[in-house]
Amino acid sequence: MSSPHFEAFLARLYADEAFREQFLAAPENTARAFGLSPEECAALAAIDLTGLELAARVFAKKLDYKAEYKRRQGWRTRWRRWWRDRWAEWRHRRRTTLQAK
Amino acid sequence: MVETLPDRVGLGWRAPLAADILANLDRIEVVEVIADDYFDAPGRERQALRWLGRQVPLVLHGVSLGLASTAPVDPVRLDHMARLIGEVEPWLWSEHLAFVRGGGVEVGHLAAPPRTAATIEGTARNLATARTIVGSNPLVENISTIIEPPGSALDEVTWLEGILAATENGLLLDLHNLYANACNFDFDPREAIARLPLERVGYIHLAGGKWVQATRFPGRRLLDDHRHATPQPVFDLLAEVARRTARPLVVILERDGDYPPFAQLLDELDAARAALARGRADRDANQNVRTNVVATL
Repeated sequence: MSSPHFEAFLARLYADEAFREQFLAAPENTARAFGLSPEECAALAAIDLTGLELAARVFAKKLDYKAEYKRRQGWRTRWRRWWRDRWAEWRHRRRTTLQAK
Repeated sequence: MVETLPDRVGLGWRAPLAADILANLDRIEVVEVIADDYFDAPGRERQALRWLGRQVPLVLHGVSLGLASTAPVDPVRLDHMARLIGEVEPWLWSEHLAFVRGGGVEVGHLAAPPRTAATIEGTARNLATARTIVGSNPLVENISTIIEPPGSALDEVTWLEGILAATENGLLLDLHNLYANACNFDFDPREAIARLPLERVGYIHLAGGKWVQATRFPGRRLLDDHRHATPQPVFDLLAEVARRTARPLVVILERDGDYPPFAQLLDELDAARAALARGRADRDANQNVRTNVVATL
C-alpha cells in the first residue's frame, strides 16, 4: 500500500474541509470514488479520527499563516520568485538533457 | 564532519532572536537557519547569512521538500536549496522525513507518510535525487505526528531503520518529536532509542509542545509546537542518547514563538549541556566497570 495517488488522497483529506466532511460521512465510498484500492479503502475506514480532527486543525492554521505571508509579500519578492523558478526549470531541463546524452 | 568535533549546543535562528543570538555567540556554538525563509530573499540577505556562517557553524534546515513520499521530489525546489547552499556554504543541511503535498494539494505542514516499504523506497529515490542536484546528503529528521499515519504497515522505528539502511544519510533525531509520538501512540521512547542505529545520529533537536484536546472525537494529543520550554523527559532522552553513543552530538533548541526572555533560552541550552555531560559520565562509568570486569576475569 501507499502510492502517489494514496498520498494525494491524504493531502486532500488533511487540507480540504469539504472533502473531509464528505469522507467522514462515507469513508469507504469516498475513498473508492477517488480510485483507491480495496486495501487502501479499508485502511482509511479505520482511520484515527481524533488524530484526523487535530491534524486538520493544525494544517489549516499553517495554511492560513502561509497564505497571509504570501499576501503580504511585495512585488519585488514575487518577481524574484518568478525568475528564480524559471531559472530552476531551465537548469533542470539542461541537466536532464545532459544526462540523456 | 561531525565526527571530528566535540558536542555543540545551539539555537534555531529566528528574526526576533537574531540580536540576542549575535550578542551571545560565546554561549551558542551552532545556529540552524530555516532554508525556505531565504529562497525568495534578496542577495544582500543571503550574503548576510553567508557572513553569519563565518561567525558560527551554520546549518540550513529545509521544511518543504517533502522527501518522504512515493512521489518524486520536485527538482525545482531542490534547485532552490542547491543554490542557497552554494551561496551560503553551510556546515550541514537537513530536511524532514515528511510529505507536504500530494496530487497538487499543499498540506500546509509536515505530514507523516504511510510507513510502508513503498515510502521507504520512494524516500531513498528522493534522497538520491537530492544528492545529485544539491551535491551533498542532507541529514533527515524524524517528524512528530498527531495522527497515526493511515495505511502504515511498519512502526516508526522500523520505518526509520529501513530508510537509513537504504541510504547513506545521517539521522537528525528530534527528541521532542520522538517523545510526542511516544505519548500519542503509547510506546517507550527509550526503547526506540535503543533500537535506532545511533552511529548514524550526530544531530539532535530539542523543543517543547502542548496538549491539544479534540472536540468532535474523544482524546487529546501532544502537539510539537515549538512554543514551550523543553520538558524534562526530553532532556532525559538526550542524556540517554549521550550515554549510548560515543559520537559527538550537535544539539539545537528550536523555538518558533511565544519567546521567553532570552536568558531562559540560554538556561535551556545549559540544561542540554548538563544532560549531555550526565550521559557521557554514565557512559564513561559503564566503560570503566566493563574494563574492571574484564581485568578481573
